[in-house]
Amino acid sequence: MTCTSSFLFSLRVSVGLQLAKRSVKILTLFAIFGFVLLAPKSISADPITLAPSSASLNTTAGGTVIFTGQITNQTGVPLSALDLFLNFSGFDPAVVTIEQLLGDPDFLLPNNTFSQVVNLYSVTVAANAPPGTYTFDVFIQDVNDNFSNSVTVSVVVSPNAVPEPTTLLLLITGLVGTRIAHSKLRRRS
Amino acid sequence: MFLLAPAPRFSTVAPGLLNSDGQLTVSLPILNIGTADAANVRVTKISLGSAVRRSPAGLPLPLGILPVNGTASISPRFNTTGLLVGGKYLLSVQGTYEANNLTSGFAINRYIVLPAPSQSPVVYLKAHVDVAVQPGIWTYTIFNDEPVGSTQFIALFSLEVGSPFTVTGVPVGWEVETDNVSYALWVASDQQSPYPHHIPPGGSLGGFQIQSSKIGSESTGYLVAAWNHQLDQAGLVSPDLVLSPGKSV
Repeated sequence: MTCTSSFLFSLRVSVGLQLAKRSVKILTLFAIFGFVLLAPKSISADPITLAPSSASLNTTAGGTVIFTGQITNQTGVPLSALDLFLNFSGFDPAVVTIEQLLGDPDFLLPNNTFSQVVNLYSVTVAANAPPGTYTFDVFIQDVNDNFSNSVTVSVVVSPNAVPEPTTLLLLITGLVGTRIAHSKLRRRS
Repeated sequence: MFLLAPAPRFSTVAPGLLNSDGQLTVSLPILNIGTADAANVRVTKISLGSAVRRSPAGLPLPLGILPVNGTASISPRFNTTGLLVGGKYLLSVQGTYEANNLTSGFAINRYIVLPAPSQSPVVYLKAHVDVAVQPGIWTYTIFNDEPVGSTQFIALFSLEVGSPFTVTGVPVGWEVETDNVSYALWVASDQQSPYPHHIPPGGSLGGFQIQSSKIGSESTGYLVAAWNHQLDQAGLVSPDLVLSPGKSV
């Protein structure tokens, strides 16, 4: 091996090593970028977080359901429940009436803490509401104009339960049978 | 991951509050912080705890278009009877809007603290207007709520209207000017003192009437103005809201 070829060989090795290092760096950056993109949304740093206990509740026409949930305060200051306001949109105004319950009763929510499961709001469904699923969006705003994530929730209106004729017949037959058996036992005794 | 459809979202900012003359006036800005414009925004319910609402006396109250990052303001008034200074009460505003070819509902809430009573920076005429609504007919009665002995006599009633109409009622001693589309202006026709057709303090006058092919009502602005009989010059005014033929109903 000549001096020139030896030099060229070492140059190739050096360049190869540098390219390998650069590739590792690029791959690391891609990995970090990918992690940020694909990370679950729950790690997002909303100053207030609204976590409903259930995203959907069932009722019948004319019924009222109460949504409960927890609130996390990361605003940097303590809050009371009376500092928290619920805002709603996207609901069917002919079917759904929503009332804020949060704040009654009042409670304290220090910074970096989460509340117990509390009543958030009630949803009353119109008496003439047809069966179906009624969705709406809700978020919390605080007195310092911090906003929570927006949550889509729903109320499922089921048809009013009416006993089927066969079920009623079975029930009546059973009751009559019980009555007859009871009478026979009484006569024997 | 998925993309959410653009939609309006409503919020509020800290309202202006004035506790004066036994009434709380709330100046509440309503914001669209969503990603789509809200058209035909109408307020259908305003409440403050269990307080009696004095204004607007009738709803709905049209707010028009609320674009993204746009603001509209409402100024409801409530009786303070039964409310405690320093107490927190839930102000709730509900309504409807149109977006994505769909009419939807919104509800916004805010606890407010009742401030101590203070003097209003602007002195308004003490007056109010009642309306009797029959299908297609709106009849107004003006009340001069100034204390007996006041020099403020009502001499003008201007009404904003949202749809075409005709004036069908003018009280005796009054005359009307209108474009039959957007306003009606009734004025007492007295030219010289003692102005016998002005509405005196403690008095009232009915018979201001309009008709429209629109059946539904919505809250629109009005102005009642007084003539100061002592100084023989224009007096105080009282702006507020009252039901009139609706633009969108």
